[in-house]
Amino acid sequence: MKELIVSTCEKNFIRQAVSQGKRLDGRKFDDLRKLDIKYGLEWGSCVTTLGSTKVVAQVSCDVQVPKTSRPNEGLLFINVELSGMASVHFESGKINDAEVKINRILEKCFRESKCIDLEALCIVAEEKVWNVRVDLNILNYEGNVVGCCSIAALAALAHFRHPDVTSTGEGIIIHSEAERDAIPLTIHHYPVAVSFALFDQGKHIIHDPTALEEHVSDVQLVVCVNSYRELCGLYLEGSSIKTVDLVVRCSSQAAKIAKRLVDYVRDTLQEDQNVRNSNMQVPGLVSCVNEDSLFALSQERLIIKLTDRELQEKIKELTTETEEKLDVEMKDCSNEDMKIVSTGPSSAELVSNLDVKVGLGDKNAWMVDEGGDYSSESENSEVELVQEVSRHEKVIQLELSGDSEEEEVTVLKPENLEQRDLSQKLPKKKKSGKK
Amino acid sequence: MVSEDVKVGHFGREAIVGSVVLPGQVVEEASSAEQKKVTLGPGVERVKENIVVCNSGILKKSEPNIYYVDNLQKRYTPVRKECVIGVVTMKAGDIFKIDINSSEQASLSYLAFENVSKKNRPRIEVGDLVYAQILSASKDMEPELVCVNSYGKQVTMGVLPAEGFLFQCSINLIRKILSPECPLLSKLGKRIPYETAIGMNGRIWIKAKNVDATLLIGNAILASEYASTETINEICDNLLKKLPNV
Repeated sequence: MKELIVSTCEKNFIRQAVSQGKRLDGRKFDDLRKLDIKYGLEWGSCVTTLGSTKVVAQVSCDVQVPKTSRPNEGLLFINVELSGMASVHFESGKINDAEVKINRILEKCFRESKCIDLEALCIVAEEKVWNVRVDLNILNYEGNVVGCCSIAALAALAHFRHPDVTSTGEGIIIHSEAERDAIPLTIHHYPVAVSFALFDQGKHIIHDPTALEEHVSDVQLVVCVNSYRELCGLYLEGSSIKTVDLVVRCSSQAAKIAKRLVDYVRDTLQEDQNVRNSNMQVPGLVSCVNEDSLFALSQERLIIKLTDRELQEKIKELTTETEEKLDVEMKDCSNEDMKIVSTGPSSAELVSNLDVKVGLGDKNAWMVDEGGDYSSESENSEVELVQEVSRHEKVIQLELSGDSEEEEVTVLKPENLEQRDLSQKLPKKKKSGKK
Repeated sequence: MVSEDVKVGHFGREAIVGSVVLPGQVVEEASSAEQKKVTLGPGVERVKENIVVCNSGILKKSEPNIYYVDNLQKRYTPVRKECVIGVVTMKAGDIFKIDINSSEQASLSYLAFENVSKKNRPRIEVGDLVYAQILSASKDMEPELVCVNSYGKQVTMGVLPAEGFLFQCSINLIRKILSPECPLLSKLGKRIPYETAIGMNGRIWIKAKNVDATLLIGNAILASEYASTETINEICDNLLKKLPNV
């Protein structure tokens, strides 16, 4: 089986439902599914779930010889794996088209948009550079895998830190994390891939499509945008688009979504950083593989939902009522170690009250003083700052004419000289370059 | 699963009926039953003189001495005599290739329908849905389907209309709604006219008057997975009360 098998009856039904403004899971056309990012103990590892699509990302690095064409740039390699675990129609071992497609879009999104400062990954020009490798494993294939992968890759890259290096002239010393703090990657901008499914020649635009919707739609459009509304890539599959403004409309919608997604990624990164700074135990991926829960890592089973909010609430009410009943019954059984927790409409979860901690490991002590030096401070200020720059786009132009920082030139237009106070907010690098 | 009061956390050598079991655990109860005849269902295997669990899930027992493991999986394991819903993926000469969500596609001969001959072939296109019975399911061969019973009659089987909707659910839910005690389908049917075909491979086909009604029935079925009979009644009542024009 090479692709998802969809019967004509499903196709007809979905088209009919879409033409009536309905989706199977009760979402509106522009609703996204629930996004969740959990970071691992190691730098650069995360599990990202978008609805029931699930992707694990791991970033790793090693020292390699650079390409002869770009002797002072590091390497970025993205590898996507779609195994038989993701969906029954994928065969493991063979490279399939979907895998190549996702890989290509992500390469466009991350490598070709130059969001990562590869020059900062150079150790010795022409000899040694860092090779950053992003491995994405798709655990469950339930539509919009590209979007989920891009968020996972972005979160993992932003979370990743590579070891510090000193050059002795003859060789290099790679410092372990105990000796020196690891260095985060320099990320110029945060791109994400946002996918759309188009029905009826672009009359209906569906955001974050499920696998079935993707398969049934006329056109699948993936727009890679960063949070500053800059287009980094575009991918179109299916029949051609006949209306002119459709791509423009989609990309402006994508820009809005991208902003939201990137903000969410930043928030989760900040949260993770706070936990690490506050000397607390980092939960890592253990928190999503919950041992004392029956439905750990389980999928949402209710794939069909009603659009009617009132109905939904009614069902929720009903189920919570029954859960309460169940709760009472459970207490009667004097089984106080367990409790039932409502996890959504018509589903409950049996959770142990006991604090069972298996395999959580020891507290990590070395990261305590690693404070807000880069991450929290610069990341935060960067958000506000670049919004301002993009607003005054025409005021300030940065020209990079060479590799070294000294050669950086900032051109200020004379009529806007009073806006120079803006430059005080610029990061240090740009300040030093101004002459 | 919650309502059935599952015990968790006993992962010793012995597999206990009604609790979560892992592959490799021994069902002592069945192994020691010497005189009695023991029937092994899916997920349980005989290894020498022991009965060993080979699938992770909940170990269940039904009288007399039938043991099986109830688990959630994406693929369907074909079982002889079960009715399934399949999607036609290929027409290859004399046979149709049908996807029934198992590891291998099933085959359906064009002669396995009522009132067909070599000249009068059944009209089936790729993408059609077929409700069929499994004739043979063996480890080493692809499963074979038929659309007639042993008297050569089609009864309820055959090609399903291209209207309506097909959705996936767990096999537990299929068993649940097909059991005579479950009021769900009849209760819904009193208010909303609909047609349905329920396949043991976890596929349900529903055809109702419009999209709303179809979604409502689908939702009611999926929502009843972990609900008791009373709750199912309540859910049905409330759904039907709120629905305006079906």
